[in-house]
Amino acid sequence: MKKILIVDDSEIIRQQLGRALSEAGLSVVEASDGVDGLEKVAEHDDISLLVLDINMPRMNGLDMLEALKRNPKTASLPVLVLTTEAQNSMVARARQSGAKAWLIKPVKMDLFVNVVQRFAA
Amino acid sequence: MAAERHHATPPRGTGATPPAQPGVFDTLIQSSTVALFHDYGVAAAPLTPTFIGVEDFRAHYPLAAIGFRGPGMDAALILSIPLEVSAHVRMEASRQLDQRDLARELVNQAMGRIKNRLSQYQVTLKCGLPASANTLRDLDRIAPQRGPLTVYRLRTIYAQILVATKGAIDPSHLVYSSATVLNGEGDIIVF
Repeated sequence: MKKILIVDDSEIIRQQLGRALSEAGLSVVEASDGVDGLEKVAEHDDISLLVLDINMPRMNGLDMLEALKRNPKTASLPVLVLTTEAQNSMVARARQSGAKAWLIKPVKMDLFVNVVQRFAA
Repeated sequence: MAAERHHATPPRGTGATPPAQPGVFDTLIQSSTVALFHDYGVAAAPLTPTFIGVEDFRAHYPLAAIGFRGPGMDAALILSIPLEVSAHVRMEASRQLDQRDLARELVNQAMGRIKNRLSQYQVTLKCGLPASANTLRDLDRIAPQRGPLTVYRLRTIYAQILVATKGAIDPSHLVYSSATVLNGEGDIIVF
């Protein structure tokens, strides 16, 4: 079963995404910010894909994305960004940093699951 | 969309009468929040203008707020969702929704929409993180202590949603440009 890491400081969003992914047969791990997310990545060596919020306490999503890509052990992990942010400059930064897609909240859950399944390694 | 604008403390120079014509910022806030609740299955519409006091605003819990800054702006967006309304917000969560977390997430998403629409007016906002509050006084750690409290009421069939801004907002910095291409809520941009 593919394992997806959801990194979002909103428990409601983690629940919402986690439920949709679980119903699609995917395993889910949750983290509440970028620091927690990096710790979860270190704990779980079988993560297939990350879903990453941008605005979070301690470490934001873009900083976490760049940290993942700097580390050879995690650089190939596919990352989807799911956020309220829609500015083209931020989208461009995520693209340059190696994210696979940028999703703007709220996203229809069936479309979200399709994108996750498409990119999960 | 017919706008309404309510000042707990009327801004200097406006007297006691709400402005007859809505400003761009008023319309952005109203349209953004109406669209947000529509996306979560709650139909909302602006009410006719009335003054509303701070005490009335406190009656609607839970509260959540997010600070924002930009050219001519140093303020916070505040959202109060009565439990009668939040019970009908369609978020497919697996566990019971925490009302404060729900309010935080919705004010965050409302701010995202407003921020996105303001980029079409050549304004880039810097926003803080959303936080919940039990009283309006708690909001002092998020919202600037100076500046008017402007309250927008949205009617639903369950109860009124209150959206407010507290702080300085100078709409003269808004300059519309159709050249800015906006990404929209629900968009999926695959690289």
